[in-house]
Amino acid sequence: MSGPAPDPLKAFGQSWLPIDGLSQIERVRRGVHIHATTARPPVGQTPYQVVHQHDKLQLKFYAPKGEERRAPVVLVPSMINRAYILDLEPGRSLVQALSEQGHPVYLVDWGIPQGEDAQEDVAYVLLDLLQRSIDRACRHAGHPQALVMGYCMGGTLSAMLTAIRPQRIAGLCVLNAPFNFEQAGRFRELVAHLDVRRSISSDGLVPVEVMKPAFKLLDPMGNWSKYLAIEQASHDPERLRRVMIRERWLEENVPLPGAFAQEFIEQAYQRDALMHGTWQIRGERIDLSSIGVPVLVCSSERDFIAPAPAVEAIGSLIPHAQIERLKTGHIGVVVGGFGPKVFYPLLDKWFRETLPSPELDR
Amino acid sequence: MSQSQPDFTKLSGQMYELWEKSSSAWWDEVLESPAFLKSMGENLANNAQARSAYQDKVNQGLEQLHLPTRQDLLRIARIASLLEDRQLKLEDEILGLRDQLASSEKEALLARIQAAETRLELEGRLAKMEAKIDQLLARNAPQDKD
Repeated sequence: MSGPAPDPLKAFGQSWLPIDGLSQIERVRRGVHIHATTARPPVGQTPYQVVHQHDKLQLKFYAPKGEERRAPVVLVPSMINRAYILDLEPGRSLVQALSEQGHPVYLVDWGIPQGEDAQEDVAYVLLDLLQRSIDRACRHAGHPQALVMGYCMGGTLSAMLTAIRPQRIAGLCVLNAPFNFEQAGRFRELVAHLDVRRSISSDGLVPVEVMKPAFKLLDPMGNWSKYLAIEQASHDPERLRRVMIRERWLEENVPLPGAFAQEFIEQAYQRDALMHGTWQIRGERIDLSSIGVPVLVCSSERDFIAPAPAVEAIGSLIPHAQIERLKTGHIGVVVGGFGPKVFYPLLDKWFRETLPSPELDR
Repeated sequence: MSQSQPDFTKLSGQMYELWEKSSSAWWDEVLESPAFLKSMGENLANNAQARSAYQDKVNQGLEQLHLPTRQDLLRIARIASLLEDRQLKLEDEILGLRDQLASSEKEALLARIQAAETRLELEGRLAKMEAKIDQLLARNAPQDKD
């Protein structure tokens, strides 16, 4: 990664540093400069093979290493961000960690929707894209069922699919995935009274330019303090690289198909249809309480995108769900130091306990 | 007696902290205000309408020039997507049939194994019965006189 470009105002800004208040402003200015001129590091470097493709979706297979388990692990990220969040860089990659533990890992990369995908609704995403991906992962691995881990909106969608098509799913882990949208924090406040039919066209996409400011409003002062953190990190190239890799992911939002966004905001955020069991997909009611497979629910203490109460609410519908509250944030759980230390081993252990491989447990 | 001078460095630091806290509180207030949320919704709706109006104008211009519009291109791309959907549905059916065939083959194989085992067992029993009959016949047969 090439470092930031020379700062033409550095000498001038130097004079501000001894003054407490002005030094903060100068640091923010430097942070903005570093942010604007530093190249973004490469991401998604774990080798993979595409084993299924449908429209923009790609199902990426990461071959297991060492002792091999048979049951495929299917990772389902959110649709509004790039899938490489689960394979950010070597050492901070969930796919790498799980494949090194011997799991055949399959990552659902939703891709970037284009204009022709605007009419794709929740039913299409669940029953055509996700269900088929899990089926193909099972066929590729030669195992009748998969262990599914859904992150953020991917967790909500995975749980919805498990409720109506459980045949291929042996266990479900949902990470920072909201279910009780009445407790979904500031984002819910932002969209609660939105006239979705007027604001979002069902034959267009929700553009990134609309989504980005909405996410920035979730933590307005965070946009200021972010530059302070970048300036602080700039003194250590390794730390700066890590900050910039996260920035890259945050910057690269993905537009949502209009029909999907309309339905999801209306049903989930405005009607809380998952908790009330009133959401219907092609005439089928989604009843989360019907989920019978083992469920692991992971929430994060410092999550303002999917606050812990919104995530853990699924426990009231699925009494056998195991709930873990993690001492981290929405993204830190997979990309920070917390992931490799706590979350990856927790997930690996849960997968092994949920579906022991008889061929390995000799 | 010397009067202490205000320390501008510290004072500016305190002012900065005060600004940060008050800005944060202001944002919290704004983001919870129904008026702000309503205007944000209105902006979003207006933005969508403006985009759509702009697109309509561009399409009209292209149509007048007898060039394909964005809608035309989207329609073609949509047809390609639908074709892919149909192809994948066919693939699903083929895979389903293959599963059925594999399970029928497995069942047929099991049945053949079972039939072979039964046949072997019956053959064994038959051989035993024949041996017994032979013994009985041999016992009851008239003895040759020397």
